[in-house]
Formats: sequence, structure tokens, C-alpha cells
Amino acid sequence: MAQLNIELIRLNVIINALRSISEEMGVTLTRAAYSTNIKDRKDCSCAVYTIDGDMVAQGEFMPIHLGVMPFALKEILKDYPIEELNPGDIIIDNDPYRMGSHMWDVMLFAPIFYEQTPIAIVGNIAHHVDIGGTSGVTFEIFEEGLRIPPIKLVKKGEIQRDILNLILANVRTPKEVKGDLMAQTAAINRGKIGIKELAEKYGPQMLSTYFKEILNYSERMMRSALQEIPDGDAEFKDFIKVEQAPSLFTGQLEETKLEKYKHIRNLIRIQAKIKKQGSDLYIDFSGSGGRFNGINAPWSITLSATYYAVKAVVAPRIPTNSGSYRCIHVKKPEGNSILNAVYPYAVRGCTSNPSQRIADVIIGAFAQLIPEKSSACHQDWPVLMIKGMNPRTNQYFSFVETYAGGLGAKFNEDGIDAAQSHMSNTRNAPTESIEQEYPLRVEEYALIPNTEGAGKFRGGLGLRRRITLLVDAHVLAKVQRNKLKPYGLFGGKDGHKAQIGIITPQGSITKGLPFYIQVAKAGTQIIIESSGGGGWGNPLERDIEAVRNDVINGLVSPERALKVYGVKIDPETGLVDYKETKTIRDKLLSS
Amino acid sequence: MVMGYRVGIDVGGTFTDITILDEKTGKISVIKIPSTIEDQSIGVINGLQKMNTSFPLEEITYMIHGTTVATNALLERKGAKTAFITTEGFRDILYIGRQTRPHIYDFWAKKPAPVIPRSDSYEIPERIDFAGDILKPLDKMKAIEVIEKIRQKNFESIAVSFLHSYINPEHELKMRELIIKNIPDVYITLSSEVLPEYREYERASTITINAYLQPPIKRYMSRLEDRKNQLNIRPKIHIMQSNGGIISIENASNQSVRTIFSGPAGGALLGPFIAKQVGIQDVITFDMGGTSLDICLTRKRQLRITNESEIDGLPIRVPMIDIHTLGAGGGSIAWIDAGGILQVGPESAGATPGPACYKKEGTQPTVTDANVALGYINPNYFLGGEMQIDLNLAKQSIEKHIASFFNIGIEEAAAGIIDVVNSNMIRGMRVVSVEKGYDPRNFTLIAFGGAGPLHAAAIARELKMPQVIIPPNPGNASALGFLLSDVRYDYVQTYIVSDKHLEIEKFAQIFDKMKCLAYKDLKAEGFQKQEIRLIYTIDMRYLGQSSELNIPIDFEVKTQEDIQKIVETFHQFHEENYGYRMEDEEVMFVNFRLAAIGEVPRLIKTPQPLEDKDPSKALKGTRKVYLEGNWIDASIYERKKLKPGNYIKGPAIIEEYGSTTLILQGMDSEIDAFENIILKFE
Repeated sequence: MAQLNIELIRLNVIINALRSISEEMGVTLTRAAYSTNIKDRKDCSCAVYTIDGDMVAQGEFMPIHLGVMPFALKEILKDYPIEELNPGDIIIDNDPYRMGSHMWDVMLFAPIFYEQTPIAIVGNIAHHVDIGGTSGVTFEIFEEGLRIPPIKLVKKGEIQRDILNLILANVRTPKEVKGDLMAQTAAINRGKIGIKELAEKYGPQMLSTYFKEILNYSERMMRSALQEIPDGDAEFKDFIKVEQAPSLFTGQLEETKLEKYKHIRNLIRIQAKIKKQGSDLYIDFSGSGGRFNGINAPWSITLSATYYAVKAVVAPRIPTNSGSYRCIHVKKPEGNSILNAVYPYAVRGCTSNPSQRIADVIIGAFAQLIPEKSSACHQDWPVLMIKGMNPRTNQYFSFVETYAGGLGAKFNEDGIDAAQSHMSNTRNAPTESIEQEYPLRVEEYALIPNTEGAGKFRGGLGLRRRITLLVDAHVLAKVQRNKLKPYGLFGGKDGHKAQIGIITPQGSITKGLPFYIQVAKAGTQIIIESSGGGGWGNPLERDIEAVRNDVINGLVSPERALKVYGVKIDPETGLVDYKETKTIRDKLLSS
Repeated sequence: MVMGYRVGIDVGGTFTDITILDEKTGKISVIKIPSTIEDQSIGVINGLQKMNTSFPLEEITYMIHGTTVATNALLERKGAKTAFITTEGFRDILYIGRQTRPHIYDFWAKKPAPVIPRSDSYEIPERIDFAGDILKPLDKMKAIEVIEKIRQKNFESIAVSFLHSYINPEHELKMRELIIKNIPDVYITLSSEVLPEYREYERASTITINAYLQPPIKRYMSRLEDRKNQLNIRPKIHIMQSNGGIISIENASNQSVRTIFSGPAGGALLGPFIAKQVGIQDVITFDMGGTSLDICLTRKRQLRITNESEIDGLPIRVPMIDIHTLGAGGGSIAWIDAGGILQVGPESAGATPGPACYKKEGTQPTVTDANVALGYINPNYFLGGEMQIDLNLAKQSIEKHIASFFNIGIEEAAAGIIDVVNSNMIRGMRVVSVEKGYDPRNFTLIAFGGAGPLHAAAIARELKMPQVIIPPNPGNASALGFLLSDVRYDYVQTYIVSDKHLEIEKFAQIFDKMKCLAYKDLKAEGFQKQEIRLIYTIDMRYLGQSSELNIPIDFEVKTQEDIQKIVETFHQFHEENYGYRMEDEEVMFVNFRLAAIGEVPRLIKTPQPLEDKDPSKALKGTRKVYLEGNWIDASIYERKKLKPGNYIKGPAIIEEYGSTTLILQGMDSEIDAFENIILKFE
């Protein structure tokens, strides 16, 4: 035992080396990629696996790949057992029904051999600009582009030109797709070099022992984190509100009977039951809604959102691999379910919703078991797309932005104002660069006062972006948390709703829209307002100085401070009337 | 030139280091004195007084000072009461930032707090568009109203940043006029002057920090000047900037944001200096102290400057030497995590409680304890014997916290600690090299700092770097680096234009304007026009990309064809950095940058004659050290007594004041003509 321990005391040396390898694969991929989506947004992940397909290290930029990378390779190995793979082979795959993501996310995997023996597998996933398919609403997978089951793109080092040509013939941007695929193979090669160096240094036998120990180590880390959470059961539900018409491809939609949401139509329920027992966690999505046009989640994406939420609550700072997930048991819903897309149902929108809502309900359930590690509800990012002709360049332009909003409050702290939530963390475009590049003028970019979910700890504030079109343009704007607001917890209030507003060139104003699609005239102003985050605890228990601070900083109005928080503040001097405040709070608390 | 003493003063967290170069003899001397954190100028003066006993202060010819006053004031949020004025509709740019959350998973990660609270941010109706045209004139009535509010609230400093002011500063200038008229003695920072560069959040963040730090820095500087004058030191003090250059004390007060990170910059300057000395091109400096490691990669003896740094999560868009810092040092604590594996750092025992062997309150095993337990550090010769450390306490601590957990020997556990901290540092080394597209095998490692020379050989071996250089006085490298710096001013102007539309006249006009400023600033520093070296660079990108590459222009640009030559240079650079070029894409010129350098004459250290190979005069004895799983005898040498030309075969240890060099088995080392230790693998 002692002899092995002399080696194992260095386990972290190997973990560091594997992290370097997966990160360097990521850097190679983002540096060599053609499309800005991979280069700038880093919408890709790289990983190292055992020959059994267990992921030992992941260089990960996007939480949406958490549940894809550990499982897609296992599916591939069912089609291609390791014995059938040769040195120099690379497999390509984007099949959502084989634990892939939506089809824009293309994966490459390659075995690594040391003196004719396979010792490891490396792989990566990257979001391509185009994979074919329609630009409209989708119902079936066939409308979403080219589905690639696991096939060998490279055989014994030879790229299969016929396969590559077949792929490139089916996409709108063959130059970018080819460039990005080449970048993915460059990343594979980078990973091979790193793993071979490790095998030379430690020997293939010891390396495989290290792999096994790393998986066990990660399992112990996750189990020890789960041990800190009290045993118990909890359940939470929330809804996705859909705007399109139901179709043949739609399951059962709900109208809620909830008191606070009377008569809201077209809802899809997302519901999670969690059970924590010892160091194991069981999650069951039974009761969640049926399938709907284009937003069904492949099982891997449901797992990604689940793992994201579990990681955020249970072990936010620990790097994860297949070992970490051994103690997380997620029950797959069978039949008609939006959370387990089966052939041939469409999946394209799955990475925004239901993913965001899955995270919301799991965190909501955890809040009942372990409030100190959870959060009230975050905002759900609004999306704005403006397309048209730019007279300055005489070229088409396409402006796309997703927006920050208020994050949920916690048991001991306010939620963050204006930040990206859950599955996305992309940056905004600076106003000065929007105006340089597009025929748009930004009139306002600001926090919206009084949008926080009130509470002992308040949710974050939403934000407003107001843009004037300088040319006629096609506008698509979408917000999710319009009628169904981000929930507060333990007496905390819901965050204020997200909404779209339009001011026509003539000056007439429409507000409160959840959805807007129109060819709009030059001079039209588009207003996007994101929601606030949910609050935590009774607002009447909020620290008076914190309320005063919000009032002084203009985040909460004196009227709201009085009405919602029961704090009387002189708007001129910013001074609190403590006596009056006590009377008001006592009165409100007793009623 | 009158010969005398050239003095570098670096104020660190624990010690204030003074490095003295005797211009007559080229000899370097070192003084250490405890830092006085509440007022750093007291420690500086104490140090100078100590210096006076051997080096008369009136013979000082040049003084360079690096200070952490700005950094500390910022980190502790102890700057001036500052107001922020911006365009109507945009007062929240500081609070929204780039809208990202600070950590993807951790709900408790904090978004960095801007230095100015929202209540002190004001909006003025006015608007300039991207082309510099005025859409809405500055509302004078509203401006005066705001100024009156600011006056009543007694602000000490004001930062003004309007949208697109980099292209048309008119409204900011008008605003300043109005402020001066109403509040004559307030500090004012205009974004169009300090940073005429686009992207409103980064610009506002930089200039609000500048405004916030200006008053305390100015107070510190004038205290220091007064105290210095009382000592009858005539030369003016120069201040080290984070870009590796120095500026006058007056300009340092006005552009305080440029003095953040001046200490690490000093160390990085040793890279190109030593590269030149020994006749090599590409080096990586490895500055490992008690709590952190600073790594800096230098190619072709040119320090890499980045314009995209941040401090405490807040962006600062002024040029800084590109230095990568991580939490690994002699004080880094070894511990077992919840999953049962050995971790080292990032937590450090620092100077207090200190490593277990320091006999202070520290009981946790640290990297220093492991080095002591393995026989690498001589417990009787720590800081040249000035400080007593305890081998047994080091061993006990490792036994109790690490070895017993794994049921292995103390030396095996200590070797594990060294391997793990080395692997953390190797990851950091790979981030600055491999991840940026450079192969460490083509670089020489230059190691200094108290702990650097102990770990350098193992790091270099793992990364297959061919040689390691340990300069003289590795424990005082930053202050020495100060003596190698030149006067440097940086200028920037954003003008966003495609290569198809950039005319040579406009190009010349942009740079001419910056050149005028440069000549004025350097004239004030005592430089004639012909003594000034200008470095032209441009931040460029392909149309549609969201970040730029900084492209050096090392040829004269006179004609329209020369502009095409710049475009070609950009394509090349892009290919080198990202692996491809896009010939048919439009190329955007974004930020035009000028650096003006006034070279400070410095004495080139003359090589000494090489003596014979035999180092035996410096041999102190032998000691058992634990290497590669065995206790073996290593020869111990005293660095002071080693002579140029001496040759030492590993395993061996070279001891000196403030540092220890470990030479591994299978390595050769020799002392070169400049007294550097050169380590090579056989």
C-alpha cells in the first residue's frame, strides 16, 4: 500500500497535466477555428477519456456540454468497440438521439495508441455556424439539417474526402464548416501529443491506474460534497410559456390553476423531484410536460442542465469528470416528454429552453433541502435579432444579442444586478461598437429601478436597452419571463417581469410584449427589458441600512421602500425615520 | 556626465529594497529595510538614511521608485471621494460592465465593485455619434446644475467620460471648462485625454480608477518629495510604471492608473537585460517569492505589452507588461482535500504566521518546509544566517499533516509537496507559452525571487527547456530591474476605419498629433528630439471580429502602398497567432498607439575575465539531500566566493543571502563573465 501511495501522493501532478492537455486542446481549437462563435464565444469543449469512454478531464467553457461529453463517446463505443479502431482514426458525430446536442454541435473523437495498444481517447465538441436545415420553426429533425451518426471522418490518418464533401455539400457556409472541422482535428492532434508524453513518462500501466484513481477521487469529492446536504426529498415545478401555435408535433399543453397565474395559456410544465440519501442524489422529472415544436431536449442536454444546477449548488469550484457523476442518478422520462427527445422530434432550441427551466426547478428543489447553498430564481435571457441592409457598407447585417438581468437572492446576500444566467455567460456588445458596426443607435443602457424581487435579501435588477433603428429592418425579440416571473423564496417576492416595448417613428408606444416579430420602419425604437431576480425572505426583515443604500443609489424608489420594505426615507436628505419605520413594519408584520 | 550612485527603490509588502549601482565601478549593493505600510515614504527615507552611512546621498545621480500606494488604495477602496459624469442614459455602464457573471457556477462569486457608487454618477444630456458628429449639443444648464450638486457634496475628484469622446472631445473639454469655473480646485480626469480609446465600459473603468487614485497618489508623492529634499538629494524622483518604463513624479500623480503593478514590472525587465548579456533572444522570467509566482515571456528581447489588463476584476486599459501571476510561493500551504489528494496552495502562510520551520505561529507545512526537510535549504544559513529556522518543526509538520495520511516517509511526503507545487507552476508556464503558441523548448528560463532558484531546474527539466540562468542577487531582482528602465510615455487614439478607406494623410495626422504630445512630455523630462525613440503600433482586426491584435509598424509609412504593407503585416501576424489568414476580408484599423522612449544612459556591466573551472575555493562542505527517491551527498557552495569560469556538476547547492540554487543530477553549471549561474542539462 505504502509503495502505491508514494505514487498516489503525486496524483495531482497527473490531474494538472490532464487539465493542461484538455485546456491546450481547447486553445488550439479556438485559435485555429474560423467562425467567431468558436473563437470569441468559445462555444466548444475538449476532453480526455479512458478507453472505456469514461471522461477523466474536461476543458470546458460551456455548461451546456457537461452532460454531452461524458456520454456521447459511450454511445459511439457501442457502434465502434475500441478493438475496431485503429491508430489515426477520427470519428465524427452530431446525433442528438445518441447523446449528442443539437446538430450544430459537432463532435470528434480519436483513440490514442501506445505501441499498438489503445491507452486513451480524446475528443471535442464545437458549435458550427451552419449545419443545413430550414431557418424557420422546426417540427422534425429533418428540418434542422444534416444528422451525422458516428462515422470515421479520418481512417488511419487519411481524411475521407467523400464524407467531408458530403457534409460540406449540405451546409450554407462550407468554408467556415471545413475550417472549424480542421481546427477540431488540430485539437485532437494536440491532445494525442500530450497523452503520449504522459504514457512515455509514467508507462501505460501506471497511466491507466492513475486514470482509475482520478475517477475515484472525483467521485469521493462529489460524495463528500453531497454528504454536507441533509437527507430528504423535495419537489419543485415551473413552466415554459410558448408563443407559437401548437402543432401535430405538440404534446399536452397546460393552463395553470395556480392562484398567482390565473388563465395563462400554453404552458409546458418542468418538474423535478430530488432525493438526497447519504452521498447519493436521485432526480426524477416525472410530471414534466410533453414535446413541443423545436425545443425538445435530447437526454444529454437535460443531463447538462441538471449537472449544471447540481454543480452550482453542491460543488461549484470542483472540476468534474465521469467519476463525479457516479453518485447522481437521473431517471429518464419515457414516452412523450420534452426532456427526452426521441426520433424524429425537433431539438434545435433546447440549449436555451428547456435547459434554463431545468436549472430553475432543480435549484428550487434544493432550496428546500439546503437553503444555504441555493438561490432564488435567476432571470431568463431575452434575445434580440435585428437584420437588414447596412447603407454604410452596402451589406446585410445581422445584430444578435442576449441580455443580462437580475440574479436570484440567496439566504445571506442580494442577487447580482444585470448579469447573465445559468447556461449562458456571453458578453454584451459595447454601445460604441454597436453604433460603429450597425445602422443602430443606442439611446439607453441602464439598470431598471424597482424591478428587484423584494426580500430580506433582494434579487438583482433587470436592465433596459433602448435601440433606434436607423434603417428599415427585420426585428425579432423574445422574452421568456413575462407572465411567469422569476420566483422568490421563503417569503421573498418574484422578480419584476421581462418585456418588450416598441415606440413607432410617430411616437405611439406599446409595452409589455413577450414576443415581437416585424419588419419595422427606420426610426422605430425597440426596448428590451429583462426581468429582476427573485427575492429571499420577508422584505420587512430587510436591513434598514440596505434599503436606505438602495434608495440613495436610486435602485429602489422611496415610495417602494415604504410600501414593500416598510422603511420611511426622506427622499431629499436620504435620512431614515427609524421610529416611523418600526411602527410601519410592526403593523405590516402583524397583518 | 557626473558619476555617482543610481538608486532603485522597491516597496514590497514586507521589505523595502534599495539597490545601488555605483556608476564608477559598476558594483551593485543591496539594502533591505522593513516597509512602513501606513506611509511608505517613511520606509523609503529610513532606507536612504541607512544608505547614507556607506554611500553619500549627495552623490545620487538618478532615483527610480516603485510603489504599491496606488494598488493598495484601490484594493482597499481608500481612494478619493470621486464623481462620475457621463452621457444621459448611460450612468450604469460601470455597474453593468460586460454583463457577465464572475463565475459560471458559484452563486456567491462577487461582481467587482466599481470605485464609484451609483449615487455619485451623473448624467448630462448631450450626444456625439460614432463619426464624431454632434447629434445633441451639451446641455449647459443641466451641466451647471450637476456641477452645483457635485460642489455641494464636496467631491475631491471628477471623472468625465462621454460616448464617442475618443473621436470628438469637444463636449468633455466644454465640461471641464464649466467645472473649473465653478469648482476651481477639484481634480478632473477626462477620458479623451487619459484614454481616447473606444469601448465605453473599459474606458470609464480606467478613467474612474485614475480619478479615484489621483489625490492620494499626489499626496504621497509630495510627501516623498519633501522628505527627499530635506535629505539634500538633488535629482528628481522617477516613478516606475506597469509598462516597464519610468515617468516623472508629476506625471505619475496625474496618470496614477499607470503606476499600478510597478513591482512585478521591475523583475520582468531583467528578462531582456540578461538575454542581451548572454547573447540569447527568447527567455521566460520566473519570479517566485513567498506568496506568488510572476511569469513573463519575452521574445527577441522585447517585452510583451498588453493593453487588456484588469485589477480586482476591473478592467484597466493602459499598457502593462504582460505578466502572468499565480498563487505559488515558498509560503504556499500543503493540505489534503476532501477527496484525499495532496494540494499545495493557493493559500499561503506568508511572513506571518509563516512556514512551520519559522518558529512563529505557523504549524501548517509549506513549500519552504518541504525544501528544508529535503536538505535543499540550509537551516543555519537562512538570510545568510540572520534568521534561525528549525528543521525539526518542518519535519514534524509534514509528518503530522501529510506523511501520516498517506502512511509514507517524511521525505517522500516532502518530495510529493515539491512535485505538486512544481506541477501547478508548470501549468502556469504552459499557459504563457504553449497556450500562446510558443514552445518552451526554445526559451531560456531566468529564475529569481527568494524561491525561484530552488525550483527552476525541475521546472525547466519538465518543460524540456535547455538552460536556466540565475542572476546575481536573485532576492532583489525588482529593484535591480528599475535601474534598467527607460523613460516611457504611451499614447493611444481610436480611429476605426477599413483598410479600403484609410488615407495616408489621415494616418499621418493621427500619429503627428500624438508625436507632438510625446515631444512635449519628453522634453519636460530633459530629452532632445533626436534622443527620443518612437514605437508605432496599431490594434487591428478583420471586419466582424470582436478583439484586436496589436501590430508593430517597424518601417516608415509614407505612401498609400505603405498602408497596404501594414495590412500584409497584419495578415502575417494573424496567421502566426491564430493559424490562418483571410485575404479577402476587410481589415479594420482600430487603435493607433505610440510609445515614446527616452533612453536613460546606463553603464553596461563589463564582462570579467574567466578564471579556472575549479570551484573548490567556494566549497563549504557536503550535505545529504533527497533527490529522485534517495538521500545523496551534494556539494554546497557559497555564491559570493564563486568566480567567473567556475564549473559545478550536479547534484549541488549554491547558497547566498536571500536565496538558494538547486542543481539537479545530470546538470552542469558554470559562472559566466557577468556572474550569472548558467545551468544546463547534459
